Amino acid sequence: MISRRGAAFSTRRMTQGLVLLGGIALAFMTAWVVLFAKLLEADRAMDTRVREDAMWAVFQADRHAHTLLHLSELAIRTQDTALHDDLVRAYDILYSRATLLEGGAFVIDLRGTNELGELARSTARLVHDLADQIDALTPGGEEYFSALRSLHPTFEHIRARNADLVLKTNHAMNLLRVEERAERRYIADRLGASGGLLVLAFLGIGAILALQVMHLRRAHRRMAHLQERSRRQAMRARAASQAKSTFLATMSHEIRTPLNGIIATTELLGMSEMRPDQARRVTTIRDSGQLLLDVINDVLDLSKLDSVGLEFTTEAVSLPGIADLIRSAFETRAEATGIVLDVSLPPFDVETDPKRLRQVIVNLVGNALKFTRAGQVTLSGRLLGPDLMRIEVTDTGIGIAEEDQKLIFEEFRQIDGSYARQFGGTGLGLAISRRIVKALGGEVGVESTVGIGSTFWFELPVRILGPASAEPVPISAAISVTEAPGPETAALRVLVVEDNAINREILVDLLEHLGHRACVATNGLEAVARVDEGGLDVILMDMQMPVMSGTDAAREIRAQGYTLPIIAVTANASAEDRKMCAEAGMNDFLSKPIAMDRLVDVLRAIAPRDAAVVTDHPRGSACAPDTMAGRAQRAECGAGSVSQQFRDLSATLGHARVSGLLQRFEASLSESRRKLCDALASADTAALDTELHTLKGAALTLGLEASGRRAESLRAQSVSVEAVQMMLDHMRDELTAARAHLACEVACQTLAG
Amino acid sequence: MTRLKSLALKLTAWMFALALSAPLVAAETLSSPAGAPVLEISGAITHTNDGALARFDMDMLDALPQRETVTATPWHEGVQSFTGPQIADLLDLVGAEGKTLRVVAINDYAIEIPVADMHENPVILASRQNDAPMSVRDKGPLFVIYPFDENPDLFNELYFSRSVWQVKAIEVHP
Repeated sequence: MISRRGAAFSTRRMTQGLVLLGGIALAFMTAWVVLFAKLLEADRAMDTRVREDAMWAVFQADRHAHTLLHLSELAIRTQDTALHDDLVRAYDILYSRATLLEGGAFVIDLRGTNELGELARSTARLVHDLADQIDALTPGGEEYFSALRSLHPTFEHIRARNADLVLKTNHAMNLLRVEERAERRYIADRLGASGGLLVLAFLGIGAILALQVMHLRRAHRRMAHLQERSRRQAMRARAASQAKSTFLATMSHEIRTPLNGIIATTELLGMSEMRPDQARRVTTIRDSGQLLLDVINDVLDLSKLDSVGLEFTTEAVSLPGIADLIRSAFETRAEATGIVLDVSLPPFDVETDPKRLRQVIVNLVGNALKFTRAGQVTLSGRLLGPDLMRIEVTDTGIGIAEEDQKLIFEEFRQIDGSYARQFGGTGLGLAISRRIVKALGGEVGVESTVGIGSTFWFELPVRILGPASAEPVPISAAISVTEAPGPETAALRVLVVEDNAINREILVDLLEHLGHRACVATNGLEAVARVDEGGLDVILMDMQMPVMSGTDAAREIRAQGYTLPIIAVTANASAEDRKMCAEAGMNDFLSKPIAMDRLVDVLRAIAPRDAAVVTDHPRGSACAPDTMAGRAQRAECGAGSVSQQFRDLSATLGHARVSGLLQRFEASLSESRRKLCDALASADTAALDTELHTLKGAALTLGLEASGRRAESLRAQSVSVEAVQMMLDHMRDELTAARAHLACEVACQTLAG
Repeated sequence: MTRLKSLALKLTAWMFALALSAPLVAAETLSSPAGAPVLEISGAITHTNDGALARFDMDMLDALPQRETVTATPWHEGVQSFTGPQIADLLDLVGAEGKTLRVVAINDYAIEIPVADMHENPVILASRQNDAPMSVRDKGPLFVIYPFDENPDLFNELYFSRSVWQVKAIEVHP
C-alpha cells in the first residue's frame, strides 16, 4: 500500500518535472531562436551597412594633402612655375577627397556630430574654401609666388589636420572593431549557453521519460505478479472448498452408515418385551436417529451438488408413476401422524430429469409432513402450457411469516432455531430443491399464512410427451427415502459379463440370492456368443473388459437385432458415461460397488415386462432358498466399524459364506506380507505395486473399505517394512471388527427368530 | 596643272574616303585624338593610334554607344545618373586580348579588374554625371561605374575597390 502510494507520488512528481523541464526547454528554444534571429539581423545590418573604408578615404586625403604641401614648398623654393599644373591637379584631387570626407558613406560615420565628424567636416571645409584662391593663381611673376607663400601655412594646416584625422579615425576604427567583436561574442556566448541549456533540458526530459518507462514497467510487473498471486489464491481457495465438499460428502456417508445401524438396532430392540418407559425411550432413540439421518442426508445431497455439480439426464417420466411412488413412500409416515396425504398428478408423460423431479417433490412433501401436526398435505400438479409444469405442495401446517419466506430457500439458514428444535431438520432440503429447480430452468416459491398453512410450488420447463402410458415408465434411479425393496419379482435369467473373477462371483451370488438365475461370460465376445444361444432375460454388462468392451458388445448385440435389456455396470457414473451407454443401446446403468437396493430396483423395472418361465440354467443354480429371510437382516446389526458394502454382502450371501471369505482373506495376508517384504528387499516397485493393488481389490470386494484405502495410500508413496506391517495390522483389526459384526448379526437374527 | 589639281583632289577624296571607311571595315587602325587625350589604353591590344598606345579624347569616347547607369554609390549622396561607353565596347575597339585590366587613376591609385566583369555586367566608363562632365574635383573626368542598383550582389567592398575614379589609363594584361 505504502509502496503503491509512493509509486503514485513519484509518478506525479515525475510528471511535474516533465512539465517543468518541458517549459524550460521551450523557453531556451525560444531564447535560442530570438538570439539567432538577432544574429541574422546584425549580419543583415552589416550587409546593408556595407560602406567604403573610412580609413582609406582619410589616408588618401592625407596623402594628397601631403602632395599639395610638398609641391607648394618645391615651387616656392625653386621659383618654378612649371609645377603649377601639378599643384592644381594635387589640389583638385584633395578637393575630391575632401568632398568624400564630407559626404561619403563610411562604416565610421564622418558626418556625425561627434568629435571625428567635426574634424572631418572642418578639414573638408578648409580645403573647399581654398578653391577660389587656387583658381585665381596665375603662374608667372613675383605675385604668383607671394600668393603661393601666403597659401602655404593653410596647406600646412590642412596637412596637420589630415594627419590628426588619420590618427583619430584609426582609433575610432579600433574601437568599432572591438565593439563589434564584443557584440558578436555576446550573442555567440548566449547562443552557446542557451543551446547548452536546451541540450540539458532535453537530456532531463529524456531521463524523466526513461524513469517513467521504468516505473511503468515495474508497475506492470507488479500488477502481473499480483494477478498471478490472486489467481493462485483463488485456485487454492477453490481447491480447498472442493476438498471440504468432498470431505463433507465422505463424512456424511461415514456417519450415515453407523446411524443406519443404530436405527435398525433400535427398531429391533423396540420389538422386544420392555417396560412402557423403556419402550418410550427406545422410540425417542429411534426418532432422534431418524432425524439425524435426515439431516445427514440433506448435507450429503448438498455437498454432492457442491463437489460434483449438477448433472442432468432427461428421460420420459410418467407423472402418475411419480404420484404412486410418493404415495407409497410417505403413506406410512402420514398415517402414523394422522395426516391425510392427498396425491394426484396430471395423467401425462413428460420429458425431464426423473431423479431430480422426484428429489424435489420428496423434499417438499417431506417438509410439509414435518411441519404439519394435523390436517392435510396435498400434492397436486397441472400443466401451464405445452412446455411448463407446475407442482404444488399444500399443507395445513404452522405456516411461515412473510419476512421469513425468502430466507427459507437459502442455504444453512433456519428461520428460527426453535423450528429446528421443534421439528428437526436442517432446512437444507429447500435450498437443495431451489438449486435443482433453478438449474433445470424453473422457478420455486412459497405462499403461506402463519397458523393456516403453506403452499410450496415450483414450475419446471418440460416437454409433454402425451397421455400417461398404461405401463409406468421404468424408474431406475434410487430414491433416498425408499426404505425397503418392493415386492418380489419373477425369477430372471441373467447373464453376468465381467472379467474379474471375484466381482463375477459376488454378482452371481447376489443374483441367486435374489432368486434369479445367473450365467457368466468373461468378456464382450463371450457375451455376444452367449446371447446367440438364447434363453436370457437381461444382461449385466461390465464396461471395461479385455477382448471386447461392454459398449462394443452391447452395440454388437443390438446390431444382431436382440432387444433384451442390457444394464451397464461401471465404476464411472458420470453423465458422459451414461450417455455413452445409452448410445451403445444399453437400457440402464448400475454403478460399482453394486448396492443391493439399486440392483433390486433395476431388476424390478425389467421383471414385469420380461417375466418369463424359468428355464434351465447352463451353469446350474445354487440358489439360496430363504432369500426373504436373508434380506430382512439387512443393516440390523450396524456397528460403526463396517461398511455398507460389507453389510450388504453379509445380508445377501449369508454369514457363513462371508465368514469363510474373511477367513480366506486373513489366510492370504501372511502370503501378501511375504511378497511385499520380498519386493521391498529387492526394491521391485512394480511387484510392490501389483501386490498392493491385489490387496486393495480383495479388501474392497469384501467391503473392508479402510483396508482398501490403506493399501491404495501405500501405493502412492515410498514404503517401509514398518508401514507394510502397520497396514497389515490395521487390516487384521478391520477383519476382527467385521467378524464381531457378523457375530452380532447372528445374535440379532437369533433374537428376532 | 588643272589635271594635276584634279588628280590631287581625287587623291585627297580617295584618302578621305579611305580614312572614313577604315573604322567601319576593319579596325586595323584607330583615329587619333583631336582634343586633349583623357585616356590611354596599353598592353595586349591590336588597334593603336600612338605607337603601342591607344589614346582617346572625350569626343572619341562620346562617339561610342552610350549607356546610362542610374545608381547609388558610397561616394555620393542620393541616386545619381552616370553616362559613358561600356568598357567592353572600348576593349573591342582597341582589339584587347587579355584576361585582366589594370585601371590607373590620376593619383596613381591602381587596381586589377578581371575582363570577365565587363562581360558579366554593363560596366561603363562614365564621363557624365547627371549629364554634366565631371571635373577632377568631382572625381572626373572618367569614373568606372558598376550597376549597383541593378545587381545588389555588386554592392560590396570588392566592387567598391574596382570602382576607380579619376581614371587616366587602362593596361590590358594577358
